[in-house]
Amino acid sequence: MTTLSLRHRLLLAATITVTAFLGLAGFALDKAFISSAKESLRHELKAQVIALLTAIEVEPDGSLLVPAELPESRLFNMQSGLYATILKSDGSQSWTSRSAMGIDLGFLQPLQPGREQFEQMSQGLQGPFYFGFGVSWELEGNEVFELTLILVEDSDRMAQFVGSYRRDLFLWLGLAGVLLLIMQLVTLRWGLTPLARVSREIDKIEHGQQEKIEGRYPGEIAQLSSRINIFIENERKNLERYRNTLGDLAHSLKTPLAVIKGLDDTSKEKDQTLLVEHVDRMSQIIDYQLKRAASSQFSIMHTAVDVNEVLRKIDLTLKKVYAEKSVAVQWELEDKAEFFGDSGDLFEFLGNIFENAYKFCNEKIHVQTRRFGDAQCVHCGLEIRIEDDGAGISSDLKDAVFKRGARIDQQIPGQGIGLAVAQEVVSRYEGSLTTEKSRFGGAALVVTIPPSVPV
Amino acid sequence: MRLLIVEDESALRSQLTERFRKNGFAVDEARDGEEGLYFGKEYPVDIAVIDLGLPKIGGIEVIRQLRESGVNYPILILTARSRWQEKVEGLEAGADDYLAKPFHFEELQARVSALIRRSAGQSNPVLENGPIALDTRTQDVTVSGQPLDLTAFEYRLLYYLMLNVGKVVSKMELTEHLYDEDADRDSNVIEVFIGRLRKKIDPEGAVNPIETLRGRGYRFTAID
Repeated sequence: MTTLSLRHRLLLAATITVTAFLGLAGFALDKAFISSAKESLRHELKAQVIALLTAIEVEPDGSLLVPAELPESRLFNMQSGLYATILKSDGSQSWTSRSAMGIDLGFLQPLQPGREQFEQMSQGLQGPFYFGFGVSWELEGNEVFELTLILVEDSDRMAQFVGSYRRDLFLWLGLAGVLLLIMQLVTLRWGLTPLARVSREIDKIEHGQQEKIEGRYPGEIAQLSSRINIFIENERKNLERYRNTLGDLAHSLKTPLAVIKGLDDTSKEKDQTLLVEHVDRMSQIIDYQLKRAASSQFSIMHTAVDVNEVLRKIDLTLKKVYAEKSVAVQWELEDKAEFFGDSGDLFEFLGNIFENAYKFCNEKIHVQTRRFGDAQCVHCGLEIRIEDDGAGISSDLKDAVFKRGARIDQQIPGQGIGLAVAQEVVSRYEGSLTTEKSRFGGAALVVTIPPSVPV
Repeated sequence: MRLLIVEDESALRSQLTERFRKNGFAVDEARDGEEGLYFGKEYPVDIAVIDLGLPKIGGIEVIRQLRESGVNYPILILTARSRWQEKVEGLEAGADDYLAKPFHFEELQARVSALIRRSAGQSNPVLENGPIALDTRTQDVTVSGQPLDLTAFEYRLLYYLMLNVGKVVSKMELTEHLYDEDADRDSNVIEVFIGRLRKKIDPEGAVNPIETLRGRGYRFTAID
C-alpha cells in the first residue's frame, strides 16, 4: 500500500475541515434564520388578530359586525394566502374573510378566552401557519360571548423568504469555502517548499553533483538536514576506514607470507619454528584489523549508555575468567556517568583496558568515573580511570600503543593489541586514552571523552 | 574427565576431539546447538567447550538453557569474533571462560584443566594427595618424587580420583565420566584398572589409598 503524500494528506485534512465547518455553520445559520422568521410571522399574525379584534363589534343578539374595510387588504382578495376566521365557542364559524372563500378551514378549533396559539399545520415549510386568540366579549347586561379569532397564512411566503435567504447563505458560504481552500493550498505550497528543496538536494547528492546539503532551512528541517549531512560524512569516513583497514590488512599479511613462502624445508625444525611464529603473527594481524574494522559504525544518534553498569558487567566477567587471581576492585563511580555512543564500542575499549588491569595488577584495581562539562551539559564529558598496583606499562609498550597512528601490526609485542584497539575506538569518539603512573604503583589508564553538542 | 565439544566446523571439532582424547579425556561431540543442548543435559559431562556461532540454536542460548536446566559443570566459550560485548553476554549467560579463535591447543587445554580444577575446588595445577602428585599440565605423575609410568586410561582414572579425594565414587560414575558415548563400556574393566593403579602407586600395599566399598564403589582416601 502506498502512503499518501504529505501534500495530499494536508489537502485532504483541510478539505474535510473546511467542508465540515462550513456545513455545520450553514446548518446552524439556517436553523436560526427559520426560527427567527417563524417568530416574526407570529408577531405579524398576532398584530393582525389584534387589529381584527379592534375592528369588530358584537351585536346584543350575538351576531358579529365586521366592517367592510379592514386594514389588511389581503383578507379581501380571493385566495390571497392570508385568511381570517372567527369561531364561536361551539366551533362554528361566525365570520370568515373573503379571501378564504373556497378554502377549508374546518380543522380549526376554538380556544379558551385569554389563550393564544401559534402552530403550523404540518412539519417543514409546507403546511399553513395559524395564530389563534381566544377572547370573551362582554355586552351590556353582562352577557358574555366567547370568540376565537384565527389568522391563517399559507406557507408560500415563508418558503419564498427562506428560499432566498438560503440561496444567499449558500452562495456566501461557498465563496468562503473556496477562498479558504485556496489559502490552504497556498499555505501548503509555501510550507512544503523547503521539503521539496531538500529532496532536490538529496537527488543531486545521489547523482554526485553535490557533496552535502547546502541550503539554509527552517529549524525543523535544519535538524534533519544537518543529521543527514553527518550521516553522509560518517558514511564517507566508514568507507575510508574500511578501505584503509583492508589495505593495511593486505599489506601487513604480505610480510609473514613472504617469509613462509621463502621457507625451503618445513620438515626442518628451524623452518617449523619460523612457520609457527609467522602463522601466529598473521593470526594476530587479522585479529587486530578485524577488531578495528568491526568496531561499530558511526551513527547519527546515540542513546546514553550507563558506563557504570557496563564496568560492573565487565568486572563480573573478568572475575570469572581470573578466578584464580583474587583481585579487589575499588569503585569510585559518579552517578549518571553516560557514554553517548555504541554500547559495543564502550564494551570494547573498557573491556580491553579493564582486562589489562586484571592481567597486570597484583591484587588491587581502582575504577573511577567522573563527569565533566558545564552545569547544564546534556552530553557531558566523561573520564574513566582504571588503575592497578602492578608493575606499570613498560615504556616500549607505551610507545608502541600510544604513538598516534603507529602501525600496530609492525611491532605488536603481543600484549599491546588490546590497548591499541581501545585507543583506536576511543579516538573515534574524539576521545583520548592516556597512561599515567598510578598512585597504587602500577599503571593508570585514563579515557577522556569530551563533552559534545548534541546534533 | 568427560568433555563435551559443541562446534559446527567439522575440521576443528575432530581436531579438538582427537587431541583431547589423546590427553586423557572422554569426548562427546555435538555438531549444532540442538545436539549440544541435548548432550549437555543428558550426559554426565564434566566440562563443555561451546562455540558461539552455532546452527539451529546459538551458543549463548545453549548455555542459558543448560544453566536453566540446573547444569553446573564449567563451560568455556569459543568465539571467532571476540567482541567484548559478546564475551560479557556469554559469561552472563553462565559460561565460565572464553577463548578467541584462533588459539593454540595448549592454551585451550590449560584453560579447560584450570576450569576442571576450579570446579573441584582445587587451585593448584598440580594435584597432590600425600606422596602422590599429578601435574595436569604435563600429565606427569610422581610418587614421593619418583615418576610413575601410567597408561592413558590409568592416568584418566587417577586424575578423576584425585579430583574426588575422600568421596565415594561408584563404578557406574567412573564408567560414565571416563568413557564417552562411542566407547565400549565394560564396568569389569574398571576393576582391572583399579587393581593395576593400586599396584603402581602403592606397590608394597602399605597405604592402600584406594579403598573398595562393597556394593558402593571406591574411595580415594586422603593421605597424611
